[in-house]
Amino acid sequence: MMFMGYKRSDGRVGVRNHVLILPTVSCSSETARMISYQVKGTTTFTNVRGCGQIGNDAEQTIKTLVGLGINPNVYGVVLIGLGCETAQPHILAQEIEDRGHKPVKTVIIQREGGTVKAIAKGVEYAYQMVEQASLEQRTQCDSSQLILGPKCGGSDPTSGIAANPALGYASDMIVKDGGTSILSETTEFIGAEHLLAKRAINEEVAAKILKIVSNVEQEVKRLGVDLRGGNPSPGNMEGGLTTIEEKSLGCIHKGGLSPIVDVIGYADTPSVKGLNIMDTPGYDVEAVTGMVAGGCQIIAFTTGLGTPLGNPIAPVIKITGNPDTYSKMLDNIDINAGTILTGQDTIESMGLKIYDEILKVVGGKLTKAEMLGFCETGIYQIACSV
Amino acid sequence: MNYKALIINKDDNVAVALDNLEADELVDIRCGEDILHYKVIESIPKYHKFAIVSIPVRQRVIKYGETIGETTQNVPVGAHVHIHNVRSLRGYTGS
Repeated sequence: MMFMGYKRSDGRVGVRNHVLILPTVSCSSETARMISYQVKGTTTFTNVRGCGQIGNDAEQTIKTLVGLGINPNVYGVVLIGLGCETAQPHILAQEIEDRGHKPVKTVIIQREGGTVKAIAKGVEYAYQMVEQASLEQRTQCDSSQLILGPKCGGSDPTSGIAANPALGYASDMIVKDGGTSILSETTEFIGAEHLLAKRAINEEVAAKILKIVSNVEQEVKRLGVDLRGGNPSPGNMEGGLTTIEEKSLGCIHKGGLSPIVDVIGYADTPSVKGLNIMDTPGYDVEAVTGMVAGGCQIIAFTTGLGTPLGNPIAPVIKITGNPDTYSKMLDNIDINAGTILTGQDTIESMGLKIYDEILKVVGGKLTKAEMLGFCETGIYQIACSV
Repeated sequence: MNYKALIINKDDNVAVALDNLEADELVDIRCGEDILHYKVIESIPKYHKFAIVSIPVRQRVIKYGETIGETTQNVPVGAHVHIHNVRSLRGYTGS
């Protein structure tokens, strides 16, 4: 299917045209926010990582920040750094320029000589970049260029029965169009990994699926604590989900029935089209951040209990399978898939509606999370802070 | 909608309540194209599970045709199936 999108010079297609004010570290996040407030057309987020990190944890944070910068929904980037942090701004800027082929400017607070001068320079860079961005026109693009991030969070039993199977149907349609979909949340494969492994395109991919799940389970065992309370969460259990296995078996429906072509690391970009698995935690904000850093232009998010979560770069379509949640949290939910349970829709008819909504949103329709300004971002930390 | 609970897979030993169910209520349950009738022996909150066969202690609880955990006590037909009588078989090695 065709939609109107932004063709970027690196060959990828954006569905939004943001100028990203990118804080490289917690110490520059407030400055980035102040700059973004001043210039309409920019987007930003709070980054609590970027320093006090070592080894593969530091590498993962840098990879994620670069991934957010090169996401095709971003026209250009103004990096706001402190100067002394682990995630060195000039290294990030270079990588975003090299891989994203897009305008990048850098402001270093320590080099500018304080907040006021840094904000002044950041605002100047930002408005010049927004002016250039505003000249970009949407043109005909093909849905095979899309990377969809199906996600579920604040789940209840309706997620597994209604919303996730319908989203999975829409995900399969994107894959049939020649596009890409990324199933994430490794924790929520526990108890359902054998079903995913059966759908792997070869034994190597099947082994990778089983390995990432085993890694998470071993880590939980090492901690010697019950996963319950963390996952399923207290709200999941109050809603009726009893164990991680039950949650997982409902959760994986959102990836549809397509063959699984590859397993990629957190914030990595898929190298093969089709349904990929990304190794992320189940925690909503960290999973969504990883998928957007991996190139997802659009997130479709099911929630039985309801959540306001959005993203600064990719629009997030909120879908509930719970008709009560839809009427209770109307301002946060875009689609009521509870009609499957009340008999007005089938999984297929709702799947088609979700697919249609995805195409509308990638063509420019705003989601509720966008209109309300939600831009939660969190990078998955894999080692202790130092 | 003429049913108040759902059996997702014919191999399941639990059903999902689609409404709040009262103790001793006779419930119409959809299983594929069929409507079955079971009595619940206690109140079941909306979207929670109840047993459709008697499940002895340390037996598997089946939903979606797959194992979601095991019982920690004998669970009679029509009883609420949740965290008070089911534990996960994954991740946790404690008691």
